[in-house]
Amino acid sequence: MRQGLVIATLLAALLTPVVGRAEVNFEADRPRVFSIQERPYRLRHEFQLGLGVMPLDAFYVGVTAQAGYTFHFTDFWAWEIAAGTYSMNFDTALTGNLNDKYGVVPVREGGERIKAFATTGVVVKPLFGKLALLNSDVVLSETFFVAGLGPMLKGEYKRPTGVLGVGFRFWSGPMLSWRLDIRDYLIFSTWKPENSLSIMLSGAFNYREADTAVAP
Amino acid sequence: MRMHAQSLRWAFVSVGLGLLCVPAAFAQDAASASQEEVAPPSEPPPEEPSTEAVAEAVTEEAEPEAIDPEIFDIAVADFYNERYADAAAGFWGYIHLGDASSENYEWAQFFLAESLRKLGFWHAAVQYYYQVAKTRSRPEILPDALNRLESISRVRPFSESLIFEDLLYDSEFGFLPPYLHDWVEYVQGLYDYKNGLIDWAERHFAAIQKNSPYSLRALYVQAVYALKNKKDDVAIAMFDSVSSSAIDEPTVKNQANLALARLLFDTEHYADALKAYDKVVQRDLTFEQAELLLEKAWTHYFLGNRRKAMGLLHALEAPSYQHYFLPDAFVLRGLILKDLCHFIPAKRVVRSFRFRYQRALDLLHRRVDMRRIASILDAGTQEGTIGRRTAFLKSLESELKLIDTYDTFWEDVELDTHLRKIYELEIREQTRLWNIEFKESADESALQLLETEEQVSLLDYELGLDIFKRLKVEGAKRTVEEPLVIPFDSSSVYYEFDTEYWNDELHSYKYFINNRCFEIGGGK
Repeated sequence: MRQGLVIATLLAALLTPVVGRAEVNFEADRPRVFSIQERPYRLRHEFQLGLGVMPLDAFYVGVTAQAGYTFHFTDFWAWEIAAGTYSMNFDTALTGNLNDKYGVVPVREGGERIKAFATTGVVVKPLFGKLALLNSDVVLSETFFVAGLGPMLKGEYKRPTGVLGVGFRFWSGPMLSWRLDIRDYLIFSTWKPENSLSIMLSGAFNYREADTAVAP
Repeated sequence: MRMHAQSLRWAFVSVGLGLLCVPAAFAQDAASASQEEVAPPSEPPPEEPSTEAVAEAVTEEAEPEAIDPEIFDIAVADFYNERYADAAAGFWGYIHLGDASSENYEWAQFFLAESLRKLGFWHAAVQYYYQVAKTRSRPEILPDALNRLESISRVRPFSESLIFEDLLYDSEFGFLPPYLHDWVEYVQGLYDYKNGLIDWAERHFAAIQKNSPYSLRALYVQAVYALKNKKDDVAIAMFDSVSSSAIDEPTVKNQANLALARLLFDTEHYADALKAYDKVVQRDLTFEQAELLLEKAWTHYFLGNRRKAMGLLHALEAPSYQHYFLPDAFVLRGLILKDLCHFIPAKRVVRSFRFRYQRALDLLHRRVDMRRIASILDAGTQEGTIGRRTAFLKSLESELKLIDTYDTFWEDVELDTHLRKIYELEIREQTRLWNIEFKESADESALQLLETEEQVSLLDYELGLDIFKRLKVEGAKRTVEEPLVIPFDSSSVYYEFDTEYWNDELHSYKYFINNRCFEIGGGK
């Protein structure tokens, strides 16, 4: 009986709601300090020229050249209106090794090879920051993400292609920045897409009307 | 509570003329004594050598005797082969062992100055440029010597009394290139202003070319004089003219903008003052920049922009600023927190003021020699004439130590001994003057600290009253302020402070702090 009372008391204590005290929530009032700075460099019409590689295919490596134009609506949204890429393909050692060791030659050079493609896509730029370069200089940087689609000339066929990518931009000045783009191309030769990775370094030239540009 | 503005006018009138002597700002080193009580600087010597005596040491030579003229040629060759220590020894040997009537005597003095300058002996170089310019027995070198002195006067601490008073003020140089002519006229006019000879000063200033940077400096001096004579409107117009002039002279324009801002602040035109303050650029992490941040914070406070004021005060907490003597900052921070009913943080500000300055205050109350109180020593030497003299003394001491590096080159001709004598004499003379000036500036700093202590005590008392102020619950409501909204897509970037100070952010901090006060019937 006594033991039952103790248990009942403990249960009652657990079930009783905690008494709330009416007080100002000072934690929510915690001051926050921001450094609010105008963006020193802002993009509008971006013309990009780049060189890169497509390294994933076992039978060849594509050395790519790209030209593109991107219109930046705001500091967050942009539209990569067109990016055209041509791939110059070089055989890897695999074809020769297969021939030497097994006396076989891949059919149609090991599959269709990417020759050229063009995409259009949306760009979001959520990350912007300053980097201390060797503790002696400050480099402004931006990270952006791209999603788009377009046609690809693969072998003798045109294939629909989607693209997802991430890019890093480093500014040299208001008119010139340098980009590193890492993109995955999803090539729909069948319903199941193939992946092709592209790594590209580009110079990007920016033109922004004087009335909307913010001085660095 | 507004102790800042009252002292502003006279502070900058008194230093305004002095600032123009050396446009470059000489910030103190960051080194601050870790202990509040410090050893005093060396006592003034029993004998007080004048600047002329120091200059005479330069001309002191051995008994004249015939000197091989080839020594000069070898030294010139060393100079052009960038063997400056050898060259200095050669030129000094030529001067020291030769006769003042030797053919290349003045050239040797000039090249000795050049060699010493290249080796980092700025003061010794100034002494020999001074000799060449003072004797003027070789008129063809005069412009070069003056040109060097003019350049040094813009970028280095130097003996102002030697160059400005002894050399330029009372001298007639005859024909000089236009830029040097403007410099000489400007210095002569400036010292006439200092001595109350206004007509003469105006005549000198009128002789400066209108498109010369020195005409802008002259206009600044005239504006400061107008301000001193309480002609505020005239002064404002003149400062404005300096600021908007087409002449490219950023240093003076900066000073004019600062003076204009302070004047507008003083006359309670805060919005205009802020515009002028925003044009002022100071070197990062200097006392001048810290002072500018504080003045801007006061201006924002009077404009009702407490968040921005707190942001600027936040910047002053950066480690590079912490050793500067700016006790006002505590008062302003406490006032803002009190206004926003953040009573406990305001109390913490009072405590931190005492933590920072109580030791100095105790020493002041005990009437300890102010040279022994680190805060007062820092405060008394961080700006104005004494600030420049402190920088000059530090430079002399480091150059004196530098002599040891060249002992082996110079001991044959005893140039090291000679330079040590020059430096030791100058250090004694500058220390004597420093002691005189420090007494006055330390008194001002001590007074400022004691006044601030009073303000802080009053603030503490008022905080106590406010904390326990009774409030009727009926009708009480929180003051509604503009909420913090951070747009994700904006032309501005928001960097939230995360214990790390970046120099480029110091002017752009904004402090989002809510008002905790309750309002009843429209009143607090």
